[in-house]
Amino acid sequence: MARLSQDVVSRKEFIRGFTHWFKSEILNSSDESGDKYQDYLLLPGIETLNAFLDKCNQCYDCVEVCPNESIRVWHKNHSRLDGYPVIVPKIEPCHFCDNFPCIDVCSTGAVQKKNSHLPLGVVSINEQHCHAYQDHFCLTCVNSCPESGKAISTDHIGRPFIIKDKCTGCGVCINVCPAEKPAIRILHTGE
Amino acid sequence: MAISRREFIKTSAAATAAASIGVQLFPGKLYGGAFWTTWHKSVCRYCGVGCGVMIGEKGGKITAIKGDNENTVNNGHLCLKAFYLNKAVHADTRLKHPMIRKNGKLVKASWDEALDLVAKKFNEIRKAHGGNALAFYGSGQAETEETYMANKLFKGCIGTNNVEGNPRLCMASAVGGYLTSLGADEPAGTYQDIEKAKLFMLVGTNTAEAHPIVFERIMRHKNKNPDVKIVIIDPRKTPTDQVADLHLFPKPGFDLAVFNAIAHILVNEGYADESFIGKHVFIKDNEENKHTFEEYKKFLEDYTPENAEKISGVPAQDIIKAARMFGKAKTAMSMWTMGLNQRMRGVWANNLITNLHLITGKIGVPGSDAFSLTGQPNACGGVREGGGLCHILPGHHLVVKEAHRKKVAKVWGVPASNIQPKPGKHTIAMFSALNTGDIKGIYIMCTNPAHSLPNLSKYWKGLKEQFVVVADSFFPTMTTDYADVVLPAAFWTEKEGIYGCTERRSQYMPKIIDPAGEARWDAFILRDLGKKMGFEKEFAKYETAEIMWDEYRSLTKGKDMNLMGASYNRLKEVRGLVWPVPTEDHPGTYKRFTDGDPIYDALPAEKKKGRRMYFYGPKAKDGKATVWMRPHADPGEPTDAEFPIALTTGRILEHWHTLTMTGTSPELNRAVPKAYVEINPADAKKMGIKNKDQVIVETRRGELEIEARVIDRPAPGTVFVPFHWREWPINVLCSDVFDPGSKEPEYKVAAARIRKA
Repeated sequence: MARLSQDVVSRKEFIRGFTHWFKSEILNSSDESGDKYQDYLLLPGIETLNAFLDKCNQCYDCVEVCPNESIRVWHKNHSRLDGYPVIVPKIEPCHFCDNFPCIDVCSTGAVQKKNSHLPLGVVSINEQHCHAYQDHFCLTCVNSCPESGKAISTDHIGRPFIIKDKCTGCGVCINVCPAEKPAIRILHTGE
Repeated sequence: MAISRREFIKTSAAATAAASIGVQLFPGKLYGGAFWTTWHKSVCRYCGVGCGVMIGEKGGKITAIKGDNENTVNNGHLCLKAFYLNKAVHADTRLKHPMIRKNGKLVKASWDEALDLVAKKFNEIRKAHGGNALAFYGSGQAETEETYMANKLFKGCIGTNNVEGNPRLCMASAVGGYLTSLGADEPAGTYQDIEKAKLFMLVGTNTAEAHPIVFERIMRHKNKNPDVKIVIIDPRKTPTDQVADLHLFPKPGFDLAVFNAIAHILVNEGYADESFIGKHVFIKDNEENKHTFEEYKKFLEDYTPENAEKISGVPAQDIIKAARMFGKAKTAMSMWTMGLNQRMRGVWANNLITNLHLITGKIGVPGSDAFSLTGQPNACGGVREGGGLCHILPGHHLVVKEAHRKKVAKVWGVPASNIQPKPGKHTIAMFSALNTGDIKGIYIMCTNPAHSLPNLSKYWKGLKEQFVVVADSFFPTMTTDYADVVLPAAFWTEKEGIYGCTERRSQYMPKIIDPAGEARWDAFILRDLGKKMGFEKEFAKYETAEIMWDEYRSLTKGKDMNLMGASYNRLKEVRGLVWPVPTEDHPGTYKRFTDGDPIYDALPAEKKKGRRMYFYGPKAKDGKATVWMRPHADPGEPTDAEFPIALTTGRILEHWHTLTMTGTSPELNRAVPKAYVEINPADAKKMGIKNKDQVIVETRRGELEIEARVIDRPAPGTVFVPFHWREWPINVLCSDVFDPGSKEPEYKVAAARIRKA
């Protein structure tokens, strides 16, 4: 029988508790991005990042026209995208409008309809933060995925995984993920 | 961290040294102080699964919740709602002081002021109009001790049986089903059957979202045993479908014919266990006349799969497939919840599912059971067992039985004549009586009826006009909007008590921290109100929760739900006990009505001769269960040309009931921030509705503007709306017709139409 709510803990429990705390502190501090991950997705209709950076004149018409306020200007020093329009799914993901007003309004060809099928980014699950990988039953990303079950599926014990070639990179899963720390990340697309 | 590295090492080194030699260095809570978490075993506050949780407390705050590895219900697993429960404990929306409505506004008041006012008003009403002008409306989330106090105050002292609770809206049909089919309430088996079952029939349940940990056990079991099959009967495809082998989509409310058609196949294709039926079962019609098996077969002739297809829309081939899967499986477990219970013929639906087990003998053996899933953590323990409805008394006693009234009155120390011999008003009748003024004062505890009743806006009138007292941990709610007095109640972790879950398991929850602000424990609020109303003597002895529990427990002695072995001392150590548990050394009962059940074991040998089960419950005769010849019946409000779409409502995984708890977690709010209506893509196309369009859902009772979610979940012709948000109160649209037996309203079927906003 494990100890319940005693005021004194055993030596073993103390050490176990301390180790757990130490481990989690280390994990927390060593965690997160740096070079591997980014916080934004590209707009729909971009063929390559270089071509987009080349053509976009930062007129922000797409920011204006986006009906969901998904498109915003990225501000980050030393980022190649500083000043360019992007999608920050944590704030608002892309809902892939039927007629892509953001592409329609673009006068420079930085975004083009023929490329609108391309994913906006590549996402991956951080198993350390994902509820389902910590024995907490959670299906939020699976349930909310607009590709309904095609882009995010669950394994035999209910843990989600991403099916990369079906994922549009819309970022809805990132937006809804109820984990305490971001459990779905966007892989760096190369700045 | 607030402390320096040096400080930390110094303190922990000293503490480790002290702990290792068993000395407590400082008085009080050494590790429960500023920087170390102490863990306390308890039970989850949410659904009826009854998961064991470990609650982490640090510096007088609840800081973390994790699954209890030693609890056999969940083996350390939790759903994500539970993980964020600590946020509800310390939420800004916690109600911290009493309030009284003055000039239309709720203003802060002292406890004495508030309770004096309630006592005075209640006594005035009682004097002028009699006890039946007062009512109590409780909750399947209240602890057993809390409901017990309410019962004594209202039924035993004030002298009215107008005592109800939200379980009437939730599982009253399951109670009716069990009583009529098996003769006793609550399932014969437990969760242990899950890992032994070869077939699951999930009917009217989105188990993955409403009972996640039960679903997880099913999923893991199927994963390990690929021969395990799962049949789902539900008008909606849900996340539960990820394990489905076969899904039957009946039109909402038209499934009774399907259940009879399954029985038809079972009987005609030789899957019936006639020897079990002969020894253990009566076959009865609606008028309770007994029939032979041959007559039952004849009754089922009307329910060919083809006829059932005409009624329900389920292809006959699928019905046959489902029946054969059920028949062939060595063991089968059916589970259901609101899809069967919240129906105008909820009791019949329950009977028809239990029939399938009784005619095939798939009951009373490991892995086979007709198992109703309960929605709230203490609906079984506090209300079904605790007698928190208008016709029952604590410990499976009935108000209509004189001997029962006398027995309970004696324990309560009140004259037996105080307890009325007639049942009080059931929930819908109670809120209707508030509308008409027949009830003039109501005490509402731990629930939010102004958000959760069906045909909601109809019942706001009475709440507005009559004297309403609301005891709740959270503020504001839709119900406190109508309150004349609001009383702050201690929340989970701030009080001790017992919760009894779906599988007859009673579990102890400790008090870990002090209540927020001036909040008090509901049982003490009721006790003190009783004293102020003049029942000083009757409520003098209830100093602790344990005294209340022990008194309640004494009423279960010798009953089918014997809890005499479940003392506080024992419950504090173990992870719950499954009744009947007659003595302190009894381990609890896995299967009722058969070997290993202490009540069955104690029966004289001649009664058990030649049979493997004996249904000894209060409603059973000769130890036999009943197979009911229930005809098909349409729902109360079938769809028609004017309202062609069936509206159904329910829960989602991320939220719970009226959001008082899950609404306190930004993570959960982010996951699902608002309500929506799920529309099948085929329907949406016909109506020209696109995903995320604003639409208006309309029934005969009202309309609601809401965002469309076009998704392949509800079958064509059906739409679904979750009911959690006060901004989108879908219950206004729900029908309040109710089951004539269980009095449970038919939330699950309403005729609706949809147009673009």
